[in-house]
Amino acid sequence: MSDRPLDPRLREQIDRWRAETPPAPEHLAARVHAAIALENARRASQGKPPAPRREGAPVRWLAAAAALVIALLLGYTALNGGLPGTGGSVETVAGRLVVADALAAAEAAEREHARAIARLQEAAAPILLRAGHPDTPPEESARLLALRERIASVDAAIAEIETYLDTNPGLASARTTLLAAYMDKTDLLREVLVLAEENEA
Amino acid sequence: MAQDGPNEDRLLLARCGRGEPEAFDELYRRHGDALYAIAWRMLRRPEEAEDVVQDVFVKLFQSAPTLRVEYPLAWLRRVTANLCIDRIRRRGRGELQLVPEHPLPASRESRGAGFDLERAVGTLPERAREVFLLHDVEGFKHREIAELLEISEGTSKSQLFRAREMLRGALEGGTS
Repeated sequence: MSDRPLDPRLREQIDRWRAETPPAPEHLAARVHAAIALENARRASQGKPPAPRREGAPVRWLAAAAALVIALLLGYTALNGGLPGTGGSVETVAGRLVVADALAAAEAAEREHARAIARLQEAAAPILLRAGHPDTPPEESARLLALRERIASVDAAIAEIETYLDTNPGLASARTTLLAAYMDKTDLLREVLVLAEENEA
Repeated sequence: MAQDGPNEDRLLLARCGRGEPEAFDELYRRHGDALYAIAWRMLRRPEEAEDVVQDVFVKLFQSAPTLRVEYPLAWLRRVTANLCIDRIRRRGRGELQLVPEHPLPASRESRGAGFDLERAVGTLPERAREVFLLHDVEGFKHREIAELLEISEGTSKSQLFRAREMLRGALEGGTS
Protein backbone atom coordinates (compact mmCIF):
# COMPACT_ATOMS: atom_id res chain seq x y z
CA MET A 1 0.00 0.00 0.00
CA SER A 2 2.85 2.37 0.62
CA ASP A 3 4.08 1.63 -2.89
CA ARG A 4 1.75 4.29 -4.18
CA PRO A 5 3.77 7.29 -5.26
CA LEU A 6 4.37 9.92 -2.67
CA ASP A 7 2.01 12.88 -2.87
CA PRO A 8 3.94 15.46 -4.93
CA ARG A 9 3.07 18.17 -2.43
CA LEU A 10 4.67 16.11 0.31
CA ARG A 11 7.64 15.43 -1.93
CA GLU A 12 8.05 19.15 -2.43
CA GLN A 13 7.92 19.72 1.32
CA ILE A 14 10.50 17.00 1.91
CA ASP A 15 12.82 18.50 -0.71
CA ARG A 16 12.46 21.88 0.94
CA TRP A 17 13.21 20.42 4.36
CA ARG A 18 16.28 18.67 3.03
CA ALA A 19 17.47 21.86 1.38
CA GLU A 20 17.05 23.77 4.63
CA THR A 21 19.00 21.25 6.68
CA PRO A 22 22.24 22.94 7.73
CA PRO A 23 25.63 21.44 6.92
CA ALA A 24 27.68 19.97 9.70
CA PRO A 25 29.29 22.70 11.80
CA GLU A 26 32.91 23.36 10.96
CA HIS A 27 34.24 22.28 14.33
CA LEU A 28 32.75 18.80 13.96
CA ALA A 29 35.54 17.63 11.65
CA ALA A 30 38.18 18.33 14.28
CA ARG A 31 35.98 16.80 16.95
CA VAL A 32 35.64 13.59 14.97
CA HIS A 33 39.35 13.58 14.18
CA ALA A 34 40.24 13.92 17.84
CA ALA A 35 37.70 11.31 18.91
CA ILE A 36 39.46 8.84 16.65
CA ALA A 37 42.81 9.90 18.08
CA LEU A 38 41.58 9.47 21.63
CA GLU A 39 40.14 6.08 20.79
CA ASN A 40 43.51 5.07 19.38
CA ALA A 41 45.31 6.33 22.48
CA ARG A 42 42.83 4.57 24.74
CA ARG A 43 43.36 1.35 22.86
CA ALA A 44 47.11 1.75 23.33
CA SER A 45 46.83 2.51 27.03
CA GLN A 46 44.71 -0.61 27.54
CA GLY A 47 47.53 -2.68 26.17
CA LYS A 48 45.80 -3.55 22.95
CA PRO A 49 47.90 -3.03 19.89
CA PRO A 50 47.15 0.45 18.57
CA ALA A 51 46.06 0.74 15.02
CA PRO A 52 49.27 0.86 13.00
CA ARG A 53 50.57 4.25 12.07
CA ARG A 54 52.54 5.09 9.03
CA GLU A 55 56.29 5.28 9.31
CA GLY A 56 57.40 8.47 10.94
CA ALA A 57 53.98 9.61 12.11
CA PRO A 58 54.60 11.22 15.50
CA VAL A 59 52.92 9.77 18.56
CA ARG A 60 52.35 13.24 19.93
CA TRP A 61 49.75 14.14 17.35
CA LEU A 62 47.36 11.99 19.32
CA ALA A 63 47.78 14.11 22.36
CA ALA A 64 47.69 17.28 20.31
CA ALA A 65 44.46 16.14 18.76
CA ALA A 66 43.08 15.40 22.20
CA ALA A 67 43.88 18.90 23.30
CA LEU A 68 42.33 20.26 20.16
CA VAL A 69 39.07 18.42 20.65
CA ILE A 70 38.91 19.55 24.23
CA ALA A 71 39.29 23.12 23.06
CA LEU A 72 36.60 22.70 20.47
CA LEU A 73 34.19 20.89 22.73
CA LEU A 74 34.57 23.40 25.46
CA GLY A 75 34.38 26.31 23.12
CA TYR A 76 31.22 24.87 21.71
CA THR A 77 29.73 24.26 25.13
CA ALA A 78 30.57 27.80 26.11
CA LEU A 79 28.93 29.13 22.99
CA ASN A 80 25.81 27.15 23.73
CA GLY A 81 25.78 27.90 27.40
CA GLY A 82 23.39 30.74 26.99
CA LEU A 83 20.76 29.49 24.63
CA PRO A 84 18.47 32.13 23.33
CA GLY A 85 15.26 32.28 25.23
CA THR A 86 16.55 30.63 28.36
CA GLY A 87 16.89 34.10 29.66
CA GLY A 88 18.89 34.69 31.96
CA SER A 89 21.65 35.77 34.02
CA VAL A 90 20.26 33.67 36.87
CA GLU A 91 20.88 30.43 35.01
CA THR A 92 24.25 31.67 33.84
CA VAL A 93 25.37 32.56 37.35
CA ALA A 94 24.07 29.27 38.72
CA GLY A 95 25.88 27.44 35.94
CA ARG A 96 29.12 29.19 36.82
CA LEU A 97 28.73 28.22 40.45
CA VAL A 98 28.24 24.58 39.50
CA VAL A 99 31.29 24.76 37.25
CA ALA A 100 33.31 26.37 40.05
CA ASP A 101 32.35 23.57 42.45
CA ALA A 102 33.21 20.93 39.90
CA LEU A 103 36.48 22.64 39.15
CA ALA A 104 37.50 22.73 42.80
CA ALA A 105 36.64 19.05 43.14
CA ALA A 106 38.58 18.24 39.99
CA GLU A 107 41.63 20.13 41.20
CA ALA A 108 41.55 18.30 44.51
CA ALA A 109 41.27 14.97 42.71
CA GLU A 110 44.14 15.95 40.43
CA ARG A 111 46.37 16.72 43.39
CA GLU A 112 45.49 13.37 44.94
CA HIS A 113 46.29 11.54 41.73
CA ALA A 114 49.53 13.46 41.29
CA ARG A 115 50.66 12.41 44.77
CA ALA A 116 49.72 8.78 44.15
CA ILE A 117 51.49 8.84 40.79
CA ALA A 118 54.63 10.32 42.34
CA ARG A 119 54.76 7.51 44.90
CA LEU A 120 54.14 4.82 42.30
CA GLN A 121 56.62 6.36 39.91
CA GLU A 122 59.33 6.31 42.52
CA ALA A 123 58.77 2.62 43.06
CA ALA A 124 58.39 1.79 39.39
CA ALA A 125 61.36 3.77 38.04
CA PRO A 126 64.11 1.28 38.97
CA ILE A 127 61.99 -1.58 37.67
CA LEU A 128 61.44 0.11 34.34
CA LEU A 129 65.18 0.68 34.05
CA ARG A 130 65.60 -3.10 33.89
CA ALA A 131 63.95 -3.08 30.47
CA GLY A 132 66.59 -3.89 27.90
CA HIS A 133 69.22 -4.68 30.52
CA PRO A 134 71.30 -7.75 29.63
CA ASP A 135 70.58 -9.34 33.02
CA THR A 136 66.83 -9.07 32.59
CA PRO A 137 65.08 -12.14 31.17
CA PRO A 138 63.90 -11.43 27.62
CA GLU A 139 60.22 -11.93 28.37
CA GLU A 140 60.27 -9.56 31.33
CA SER A 141 62.32 -7.11 29.33
CA ALA A 142 59.79 -7.12 26.51
CA ARG A 143 56.87 -6.54 28.88
CA LEU A 144 58.69 -3.73 30.61
CA LEU A 145 59.55 -2.09 27.30
CA ALA A 146 55.91 -2.28 26.26
CA LEU A 147 54.80 -0.74 29.54
CA ARG A 148 57.40 1.98 29.24
CA GLU A 149 56.13 2.85 25.78
CA ARG A 150 52.52 3.00 26.97
CA ILE A 151 53.49 5.18 29.92
CA ALA A 152 55.36 7.52 27.57
CA SER A 153 52.27 7.77 25.40
CA VAL A 154 50.06 8.67 28.37
CA ASP A 155 52.71 11.11 29.61
CA ALA A 156 52.65 12.90 26.27
CA ALA A 157 48.88 13.22 26.46
CA ILE A 158 49.06 14.49 30.05
CA ALA A 159 51.67 17.07 29.09
CA GLU A 160 49.54 18.37 26.23
CA ILE A 161 46.41 18.63 28.36
CA GLU A 162 48.29 20.32 31.20
CA THR A 163 49.76 22.83 28.77
CA TYR A 164 46.30 23.52 27.45
CA LEU A 165 44.96 23.95 30.98
CA ASP A 166 47.71 26.44 31.81
CA THR A 167 46.01 28.92 29.53
CA ASN A 168 42.44 27.63 29.99
CA PRO A 169 42.26 26.68 33.66
CA GLY A 170 38.49 26.95 34.02
CA LEU A 171 37.60 24.26 31.55
CA ALA A 172 36.10 21.45 33.55
CA SER A 173 35.87 18.97 30.70
CA ALA A 174 39.59 19.26 30.05
CA ARG A 175 40.19 18.50 33.71
CA THR A 176 37.99 15.44 33.43
CA THR A 177 40.11 14.26 30.55
CA LEU A 178 43.26 14.95 32.54
CA LEU A 179 41.92 12.88 35.41
CA ALA A 180 41.22 10.00 33.07
CA ALA A 181 44.80 10.22 31.81
CA TYR A 182 46.10 10.24 35.39
CA MET A 183 44.09 7.14 36.13
CA ASP A 184 45.49 5.45 33.05
CA LYS A 185 48.99 6.26 34.20
CA THR A 186 48.27 5.02 37.73
CA ASP A 187 47.05 1.73 36.32
CA LEU A 188 50.14 1.36 34.17
CA LEU A 189 52.51 2.04 37.04
CA ARG A 190 50.67 -0.47 39.19
CA GLU A 191 51.06 -2.96 36.39
CA VAL A 192 54.82 -2.42 36.52
CA LEU A 193 54.87 -3.15 40.24
CA VAL A 194 52.73 -6.25 39.83
CA LEU A 195 55.06 -7.48 37.11
CA ALA A 196 58.04 -7.05 39.40
CA GLU A 197 56.29 -8.93 42.20
CA GLU A 198 55.44 -11.78 39.85
CA ASN A 199 59.03 -12.09 38.76
CA GLU A 200 60.35 -12.04 42.29
CA ALA A 201 57.89 -14.69 43.45
CA MET B 1 27.72 13.72 -0.41
CA ALA B 2 30.09 12.13 -2.88
CA GLN B 3 27.90 10.47 -5.49
CA ASP B 4 30.46 8.69 -7.58
CA GLY B 5 32.78 7.24 -5.09
CA PRO B 6 32.00 3.79 -3.72
CA ASN B 7 35.35 2.61 -5.04
CA GLU B 8 37.10 5.53 -3.42
CA ASP B 9 35.15 4.86 -0.24
CA ARG B 10 36.26 1.24 -0.22
CA LEU B 11 39.87 2.30 -0.60
CA LEU B 12 39.46 4.76 2.23
CA LEU B 13 37.81 2.10 4.36
CA ALA B 14 40.77 -0.20 3.79
CA ARG B 15 43.09 2.61 4.87
CA CYS B 16 40.92 3.15 7.96
CA GLY B 17 41.40 -0.51 8.73
CA ARG B 18 45.14 0.10 8.70
CA GLY B 19 44.64 2.94 11.15
CA GLU B 20 45.46 5.87 8.89
CA PRO B 21 43.93 8.96 10.48
CA GLU B 22 43.87 10.80 7.16
CA ALA B 23 41.50 8.19 5.77
CA PHE B 24 38.98 8.86 8.54
CA ASP B 25 39.32 12.57 7.85
CA GLU B 26 38.72 12.04 4.17
CA LEU B 27 35.66 9.85 4.76
CA TYR B 28 34.32 12.52 7.06
CA ARG B 29 35.01 15.19 4.47
CA ARG B 30 33.12 13.20 1.86
CA HIS B 31 30.14 12.18 3.95
CA GLY B 32 30.09 14.13 7.18
CA ASP B 33 27.45 16.58 5.99
CA ALA B 34 25.16 13.83 4.77
CA LEU B 35 25.43 11.89 8.03
CA TYR B 36 24.95 15.02 10.09
CA ALA B 37 21.86 15.86 8.04
CA ILE B 38 20.29 12.48 8.79
CA ALA B 39 20.95 12.89 12.49
CA TRP B 40 19.79 16.49 12.49
CA ARG B 41 16.48 15.65 10.83
CA MET B 42 15.86 12.57 12.93
CA LEU B 43 16.80 14.07 16.26
CA ARG B 44 16.08 17.77 15.70
CA ARG B 45 18.81 18.68 18.16
CA PRO B 46 22.16 19.86 16.79
CA GLU B 47 24.15 18.78 19.85
CA GLU B 48 22.80 15.27 19.65
CA ALA B 49 23.38 15.19 15.90
CA GLU B 50 27.04 16.02 16.51
CA ASP B 51 27.31 13.34 19.16
CA VAL B 52 25.85 10.81 16.76
CA VAL B 53 28.25 11.68 13.94
CA GLN B 54 31.17 11.42 16.32
CA ASP B 55 29.90 8.04 17.53
CA VAL B 56 29.52 6.84 13.95
CA PHE B 57 33.19 7.49 13.27
CA VAL B 58 34.29 5.94 16.54
CA LYS B 59 32.27 2.89 15.55
CA LEU B 60 33.97 2.98 12.19
CA PHE B 61 37.34 3.07 13.94
CA GLN B 62 36.37 0.02 15.97
CA SER B 63 34.95 -1.89 13.03
CA ALA B 64 37.24 -0.86 10.20
CA PRO B 65 39.92 -3.54 10.62
CA THR B 66 37.37 -6.27 9.87
CA LEU B 67 34.65 -4.37 8.06
CA ARG B 68 34.05 -5.55 4.50
CA VAL B 69 31.19 -3.76 2.81
CA GLU B 70 30.43 -3.00 -0.80
CA TYR B 71 29.09 0.46 -0.06
CA PRO B 72 30.74 2.14 2.92
CA LEU B 73 28.41 5.10 2.69
CA ALA B 74 25.39 2.81 3.05
CA TRP B 75 27.02 1.33 6.14
CA LEU B 76 27.70 4.77 7.57
CA ARG B 77 24.12 5.85 6.91
CA ARG B 78 22.73 2.72 8.56
CA VAL B 79 24.91 3.19 11.62
CA THR B 80 23.84 6.83 11.81
CA ALA B 81 20.17 5.93 11.62
CA ASN B 82 20.66 3.17 14.15
CA LEU B 83 22.32 5.49 16.64
CA CYS B 84 19.56 8.04 16.14
CA ILE B 85 16.89 5.42 16.75
CA ASP B 86 18.74 4.34 19.86
CA ARG B 87 18.73 7.92 21.10
CA ILE B 88 15.05 8.33 20.38
CA ARG B 89 14.36 5.19 22.40
CA ARG B 90 16.51 6.45 25.26
CA ARG B 91 14.72 9.76 25.20
CA GLY B 92 11.46 7.85 25.52
CA ARG B 93 12.83 6.06 28.57
CA GLY B 94 14.00 9.35 30.05
CA GLU B 95 17.66 8.33 29.86
CA LEU B 96 18.79 11.39 27.95
CA GLN B 97 18.88 14.89 29.26
CA LEU B 98 17.35 16.92 26.49
CA VAL B 99 18.41 20.29 25.23
CA PRO B 100 15.95 22.42 23.27
CA GLU B 101 15.20 21.47 19.72
CA HIS B 102 16.76 23.60 17.05
CA PRO B 103 14.76 26.68 16.11
CA LEU B 104 13.01 26.70 12.78
CA PRO B 105 14.94 28.47 10.04
CA ALA B 106 14.03 32.10 9.70
CA SER B 107 12.83 31.57 6.15
CA ARG B 108 10.23 29.12 7.40
CA GLU B 109 9.16 31.26 10.29
CA SER B 110 8.55 34.06 7.83
CA ARG B 111 6.30 31.86 5.75
CA GLY B 112 3.75 32.10 8.47
CA ALA B 113 1.20 29.60 9.59
CA GLY B 114 1.10 27.36 6.49
CA PHE B 115 1.92 23.68 6.42
CA ASP B 116 5.18 22.86 8.09
CA LEU B 117 6.36 19.35 7.33
CA GLU B 118 8.95 19.17 10.06
CA ARG B 119 6.45 20.17 12.67
CA ALA B 120 3.80 17.86 11.23
CA VAL B 121 6.23 14.93 11.29
CA GLY B 122 6.80 15.68 14.94
CA THR B 123 3.14 15.02 15.68
CA LEU B 124 3.12 11.56 14.09
CA PRO B 125 3.06 8.45 16.28
CA GLU B 126 6.65 7.40 16.97
CA ARG B 127 6.83 4.31 14.76
CA ALA B 128 5.08 6.00 11.83
CA ARG B 129 7.38 9.00 12.19
CA GLU B 130 10.50 6.86 12.18
CA VAL B 131 9.42 4.92 9.12
CA PHE B 132 8.43 8.07 7.25
CA LEU B 133 11.72 9.75 8.05
CA LEU B 134 13.79 6.74 7.11
CA HIS B 135 11.90 5.94 3.92
CA ASP B 136 10.63 9.16 2.41
CA VAL B 137 13.14 11.61 3.78
CA GLU B 138 16.33 9.57 4.06
CA GLY B 139 15.70 7.07 1.28
CA PHE B 140 16.12 3.80 3.14
CA LYS B 141 14.43 0.68 1.72
CA HIS B 142 11.72 -1.15 3.63
CA ARG B 143 14.10 -4.08 4.07
CA GLU B 144 16.66 -1.81 5.73
CA ILE B 145 14.03 -0.11 7.85
CA ALA B 146 12.73 -3.47 8.99
CA GLU B 147 16.23 -4.34 10.19
CA LEU B 148 16.85 -0.99 11.81
CA LEU B 149 13.56 -0.90 13.68
CA GLU B 150 13.31 -4.66 14.23
CA ILE B 151 9.94 -4.87 12.55
CA SER B 152 8.65 -6.75 9.51
CA GLU B 153 8.73 -5.19 6.07
CA GLY B 154 4.93 -5.35 6.08
CA THR B 155 4.81 -3.28 9.25
CA SER B 156 7.21 -0.81 7.73
CA LYS B 157 4.95 -0.43 4.70
CA SER B 158 1.79 -0.08 6.73
CA GLN B 159 3.39 2.49 9.02
CA LEU B 160 4.56 4.47 6.02
CA PHE B 161 1.05 4.39 4.58
CA ARG B 162 -0.31 5.62 7.90
CA ALA B 163 2.25 8.41 8.13
CA ARG B 164 1.64 9.59 4.57
CA GLU B 165 -2.11 9.60 5.08
CA MET B 166 -1.81 11.62 8.27
CA LEU B 167 0.56 14.08 6.66
CA ARG B 168 -1.64 14.40 3.59
CA GLY B 169 -4.56 15.14 5.91
CA ALA B 170 -2.53 17.80 7.68
CA LEU B 171 -1.40 19.22 4.35
CA GLU B 172 -4.95 19.48 3.04
CA GLY B 173 -6.08 20.93 6.33
CA GLY B 174 -3.49 23.60 5.77
CA THR B 175 -1.92 23.23 9.18
CA SER B 176 0.75 21.15 10.81
